[in-house]
Amino acid sequence: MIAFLVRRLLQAIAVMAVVALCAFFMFQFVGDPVNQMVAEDATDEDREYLREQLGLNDPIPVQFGKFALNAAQGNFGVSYQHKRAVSTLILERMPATLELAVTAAILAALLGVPMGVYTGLRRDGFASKVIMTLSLIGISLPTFLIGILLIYLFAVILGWLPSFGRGEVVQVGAWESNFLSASGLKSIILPAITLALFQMTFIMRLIRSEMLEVLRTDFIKFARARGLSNRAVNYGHALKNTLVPVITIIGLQLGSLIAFAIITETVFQWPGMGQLFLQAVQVVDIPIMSAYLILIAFFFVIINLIVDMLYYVVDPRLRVDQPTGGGHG
Amino acid sequence: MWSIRDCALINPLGADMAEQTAESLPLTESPTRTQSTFYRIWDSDVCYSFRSSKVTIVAAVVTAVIFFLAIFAPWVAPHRPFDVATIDLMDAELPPSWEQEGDSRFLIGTDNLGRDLLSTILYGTRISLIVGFLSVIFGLVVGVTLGLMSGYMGGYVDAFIMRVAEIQLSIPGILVALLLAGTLRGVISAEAYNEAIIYVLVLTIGTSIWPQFARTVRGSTLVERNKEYVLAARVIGLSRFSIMLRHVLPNVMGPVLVIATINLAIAILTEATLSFLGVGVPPTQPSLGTLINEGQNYLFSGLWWITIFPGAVLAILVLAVNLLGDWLRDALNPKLR
Repeated sequence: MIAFLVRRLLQAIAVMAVVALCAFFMFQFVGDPVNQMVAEDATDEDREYLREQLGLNDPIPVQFGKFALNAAQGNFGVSYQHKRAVSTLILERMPATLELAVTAAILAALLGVPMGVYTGLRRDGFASKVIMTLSLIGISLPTFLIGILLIYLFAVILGWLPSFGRGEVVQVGAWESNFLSASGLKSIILPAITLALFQMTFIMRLIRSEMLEVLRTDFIKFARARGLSNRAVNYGHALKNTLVPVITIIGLQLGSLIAFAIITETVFQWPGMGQLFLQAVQVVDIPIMSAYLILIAFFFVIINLIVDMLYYVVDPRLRVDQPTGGGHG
Repeated sequence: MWSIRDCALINPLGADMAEQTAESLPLTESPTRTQSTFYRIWDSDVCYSFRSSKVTIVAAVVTAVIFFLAIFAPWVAPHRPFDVATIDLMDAELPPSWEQEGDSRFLIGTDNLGRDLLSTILYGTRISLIVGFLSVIFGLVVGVTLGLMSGYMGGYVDAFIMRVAEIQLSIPGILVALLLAGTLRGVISAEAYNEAIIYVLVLTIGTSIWPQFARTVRGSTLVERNKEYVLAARVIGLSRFSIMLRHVLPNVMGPVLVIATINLAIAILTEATLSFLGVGVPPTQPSLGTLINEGQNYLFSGLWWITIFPGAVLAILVLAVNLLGDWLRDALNPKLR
């Protein structure tokens, strides 16, 4: 267990180092930060002074060392566009994105898992076929189009829900929450559905195919032969055995929820990190871009670690020491 | 993977394959040797599973029609949407012709600039398809090359390539594409960016999909590497390069075809998303994503057709390609026989 954990931890650190290197090279190759920061009429001495101040004359490895050290402390420099510290900008925006992503994840799991189980158990039923067909459409409709359609239906035609923004947010300490006011709750519905829809179809199809696979195995036949109730067989044995891949994929999908939030946030003008990042991409605001890259990579690495550990808990077979250390299913 | 050997239509690759086909087909199976190639293709497993799935036939027809209309857009389109001389701002924002204020000249209405929407969509689909195909080809060439090297050479080459692929796979493709697009925007000027946008998109989208090809090809290469025909090729003294290219490659292409089809849908979606987010194709030569993005602003004033029609075309195209990909995966999967 310890060896396994240490190995995964070392891998995680290696991944973060590589990502930090990518972010660092973005700084190196894209534009001159000095040009972004000084006024048009700055003299060469001013520039040289700033250059020295920023440490841009140091050798590259030293610069990278400083960069990594700063990044590890959450210091990503100052945004070219907003002229404020990137870390504050991101922290301000983070609650909005996290609330959206978590709501979507819960929605996706709560709807996706039962639908997957149902379609897996009754694969030839009429309802299953309807659900499967709809899910195919759900996978083929791009996220932004789903968002636009929802806005058109519920905001423009019916006028039930707001089409953009977060509504009224309630301040809880440093955290701005959507869940404590009626307008905030109303505002999160459409973006959360938009974000959840793809994940939901994904989870559903995954559970369905896993269920189909498990239901064919001998131990299920044996369980039936022992006279166990349908419920015990379907949920106690079949569903439980589908959980390993499902946990992995759902875990990894959490990361992509944050990435897809970029699109959802743009459609609904949701003031989260994704919107910040997209604006940064449009005006080439490198500090924000690199900070976002590092942050997302960090999320992924953490999620991966947690997923690996859950694996370990859920599947006893993995507790036998393996030479390669499983993880990528 | 046996099935693809039966269907020359799908895999017209290398001589190696052709020889194996001849060997693997017992003579008794085709009593009359004079039967046409067409009949053999028609009678093969893959084609049988195609003929017996109505959904797949519909998907194939829809895909073919969209491809045809897009490729021949300059001849098929009723108007020339990018010729400023033929555009009249007085025609702007006309609804589809079946609505009251519709104009019979513009079948499904006009956009905010007075361009015929149908023609704009046809040209837009063309751009989306060009970017989609080139991206997949780029990703395929890079991925297959690296995967083949990884699988056949092993050792450090393998470890390095696979670690890079794994790291990239854990980050969603759209994010990789956005970061690359943003970085490229910083490196080259805005004008050059817009001028080279198609290549930029191909590069970014292609880069975001290569790991899938690399991993699949590596997996099948590891299996093929130990087969007797590779051993035989080595015994007669062929170089590593020619064994990889002429002997192993044709035998690992089956799954690649499936991944390429599914990734064509993903590439089209990614392009549309990037254009929608404003870092893709500019409005002067819009793709489907750009059109949806532009139309979105007019949705609130009730001008639904500017968004809904390009959106529908995009969704139908992606759905059809996805269905083809699904079918291909099942048809080529020996496990499901």
